[in-house]
Amino acid sequence: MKKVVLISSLLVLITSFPAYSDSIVRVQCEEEDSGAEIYINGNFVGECPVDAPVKAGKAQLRARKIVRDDYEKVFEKQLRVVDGVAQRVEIMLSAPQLTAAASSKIKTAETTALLADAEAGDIEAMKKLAQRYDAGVGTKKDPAKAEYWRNEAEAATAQKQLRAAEAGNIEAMLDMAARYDTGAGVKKDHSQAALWRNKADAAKLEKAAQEELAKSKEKEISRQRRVDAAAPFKNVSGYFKLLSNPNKGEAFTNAVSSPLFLPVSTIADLTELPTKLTDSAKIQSEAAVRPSTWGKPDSMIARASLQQKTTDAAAGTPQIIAAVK
Amino acid sequence: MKIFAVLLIALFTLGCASVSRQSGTEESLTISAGSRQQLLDPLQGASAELRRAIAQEAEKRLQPAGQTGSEGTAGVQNTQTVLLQLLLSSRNQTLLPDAEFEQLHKVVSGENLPLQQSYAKALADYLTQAYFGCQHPVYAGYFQRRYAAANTAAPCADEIPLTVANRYDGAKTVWLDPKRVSAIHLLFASKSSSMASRFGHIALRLVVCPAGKTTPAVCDANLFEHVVLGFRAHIDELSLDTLKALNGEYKAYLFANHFMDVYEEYAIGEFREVYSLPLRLDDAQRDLMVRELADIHWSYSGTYSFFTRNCATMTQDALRISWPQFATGGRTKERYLRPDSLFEAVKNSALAESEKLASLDAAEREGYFFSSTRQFYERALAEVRTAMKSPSFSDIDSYLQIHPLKRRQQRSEDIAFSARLAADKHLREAQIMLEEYAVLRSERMMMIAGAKYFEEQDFLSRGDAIRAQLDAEHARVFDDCLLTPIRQQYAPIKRLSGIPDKTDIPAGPVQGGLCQSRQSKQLLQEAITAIKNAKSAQWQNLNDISRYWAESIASVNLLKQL
Repeated sequence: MKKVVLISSLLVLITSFPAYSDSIVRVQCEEEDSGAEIYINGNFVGECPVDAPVKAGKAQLRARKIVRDDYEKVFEKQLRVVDGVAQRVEIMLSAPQLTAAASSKIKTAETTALLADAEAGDIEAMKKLAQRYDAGVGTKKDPAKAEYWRNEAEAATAQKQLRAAEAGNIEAMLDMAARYDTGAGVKKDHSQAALWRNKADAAKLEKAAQEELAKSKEKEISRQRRVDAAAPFKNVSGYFKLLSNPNKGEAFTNAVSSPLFLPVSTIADLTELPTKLTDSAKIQSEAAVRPSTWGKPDSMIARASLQQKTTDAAAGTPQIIAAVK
Repeated sequence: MKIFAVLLIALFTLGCASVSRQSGTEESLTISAGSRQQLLDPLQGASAELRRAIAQEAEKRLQPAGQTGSEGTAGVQNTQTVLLQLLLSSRNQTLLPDAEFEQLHKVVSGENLPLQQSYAKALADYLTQAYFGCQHPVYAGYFQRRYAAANTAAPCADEIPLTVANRYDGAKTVWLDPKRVSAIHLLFASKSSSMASRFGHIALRLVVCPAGKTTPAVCDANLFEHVVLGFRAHIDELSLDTLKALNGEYKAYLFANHFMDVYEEYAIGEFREVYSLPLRLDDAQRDLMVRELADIHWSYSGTYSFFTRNCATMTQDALRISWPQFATGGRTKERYLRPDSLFEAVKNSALAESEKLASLDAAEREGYFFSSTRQFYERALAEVRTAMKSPSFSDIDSYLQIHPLKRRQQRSEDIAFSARLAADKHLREAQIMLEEYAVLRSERMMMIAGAKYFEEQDFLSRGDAIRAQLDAEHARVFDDCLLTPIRQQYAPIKRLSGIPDKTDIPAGPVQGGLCQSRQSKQLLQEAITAIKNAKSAQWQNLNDISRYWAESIASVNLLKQL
């Protein structure tokens, strides 16, 4: 009788101290996950399935099952354990994934490889290595080494841009100008910055000129094709022998006379080409004054040309001289 | 009115002369008393000798009293007509041309018009028409000297017209106020190797000031309005026939050109030097000379011969009748057959400001000397050659012989040269100058090639057959815009009697508007496409040279855009 009373008293005693009592958490799993290691708050409590006493309050459940070398299936869940209330948890393991040890081993290997690449001059490797030293990925955290590799990367980038700039790359020139202004990867030097900015401006002009020339060339080719299509191209050099020596042009000399005089407009109307009389008349008037204006700027022809331009400008008329008005 | 006068003179020259000899004899012409009085009325200011001579001639032909006028006679006849008939039929020396008039007549009208008929016509007009002095200042001056007779002169218009030839669109009328002419120069272009120019060429240059208030320096630099008047042959065929030129078978006229066209022709086209020697003329002499040269410009139609009747002889004749000091000057009164000799004589006389040519450098600055542009082109070529990586030409000749497309290609491929062209204005101007030279040269060649094609195809005589190939609209444009201008070039230039006024000359070329329209040009192109003979070697030549010309123009425009 005394034994019964004692046991009953113990049970009452146990159940009457809730702050220190456990609740039962039953962990269950699918058959294939049977045997998974179950951890409550990081403590191994048995293999699934298992009933584990857990103190009331929050608890972290983690299940893990090694499936092959370096790979595991895991399950994690935050539990809220109520005093005296048993609960059941069904675990669903993840797909197989690297174990933490294996992952760490790999990250270390990657960092070792990045180090080798960085030391070989690979700028991207330098930048990644700096990040790894910052974050301690695959290596111990090391801010000094991180800073070292960041500087190395900047200097190598600057050298690369310098070579590109020297090869004529306009963007690289502008980048170098910015670097010399701020000292990024190079020693700060404003005169070098200005130098590269000027070089970039000159290169832009040169590029524009080249593009213009390329366009002109395309136009020429197109024009030549049109000409060729209109009639087979003929070598005119023989025809121009007379032309090139004005004094041999007896047939055309106007010294005392005008041989059969057909106005240019009539001839131009006759030919297969579109007429360009406006251009031609303007060119003729300019061509008449250019040699003396160019070769002897103080000559009367040069003065007359200037006076005529002023007159035309004042009158608001195109600068086509009176000879063709 | 003027047209009537022209017709009248044409009738005289083409056969009415013999009719007038028959009907205009002393015996056949009778004059009524009223007409006789009308004849004498305009002579109030004339010398007694002239009045007496005409009165005597009229008296001889006076209608017997009581006889009414039949019109082989003159009732109250048109005074001008009666006077003309009277003068034509007169044997009175006072009313007949003298040696001075004969000389004037040769210079103003040429040798083709009969002397006495010209004289009678001119005197009759002088005595009866107020505008005669404005139309014929040379003859008017002569009559005034000979008969001391001032005609009832109307004030002349401020401006006189000149037909100025331009190779772009033919000839245009330029109206010029003689008061705007600040100087007259004797212009001499140095000799060339061509036979026609072996002794150079001589002409007169009018230094024309800009309209409005101006200064002598501005007038001198107003070269684009200066006008050159020069005697030349009108060669109405493709090329100069030396034999015809020697035999005087070409017509000669006093042509007007813009100075800048003349400069371009000589200093650029033929690499000749041009000297411009100011003549010592006072204002009145200069004004009169401009008007008298205009008279010759509109009236003269002579014949041209290389050695005996050329620019030198005709120019000195013109100066002689217009400028007494020239006619009597120690050196200038001699007769010179060569332009260079004439120029030297005037230069060494007191009649010209020869000191202006003492220093050619100064003369070139002041507009009295224009050097050949050969030196400038050669310098430009040398600079371009030096700047190019591997130029494929060595001189101007070899430069021109490269097709413009090829030249442009070579420039584009020479990247450094292209960059320099864009950056170096002086070099760019040199390059443009060379391309412009190619334009000018090819333009001349194009005109020759065009003329050759016309000659070969004989469009003028095939006109009907060609029109049959075209519809009415195309045929009209073909005729008006192509055949007619060409026909006008072949035909002898139409001469007017004296200086016309604005009522005689249309405001603008009638055909200009029609043929300049885009639609007409399109129609003309279509007409030519329809009738062209593409197999003709001349056609090929014409189009080759036209392409060269057009591409040279394109090159100039491209270079200017750099």
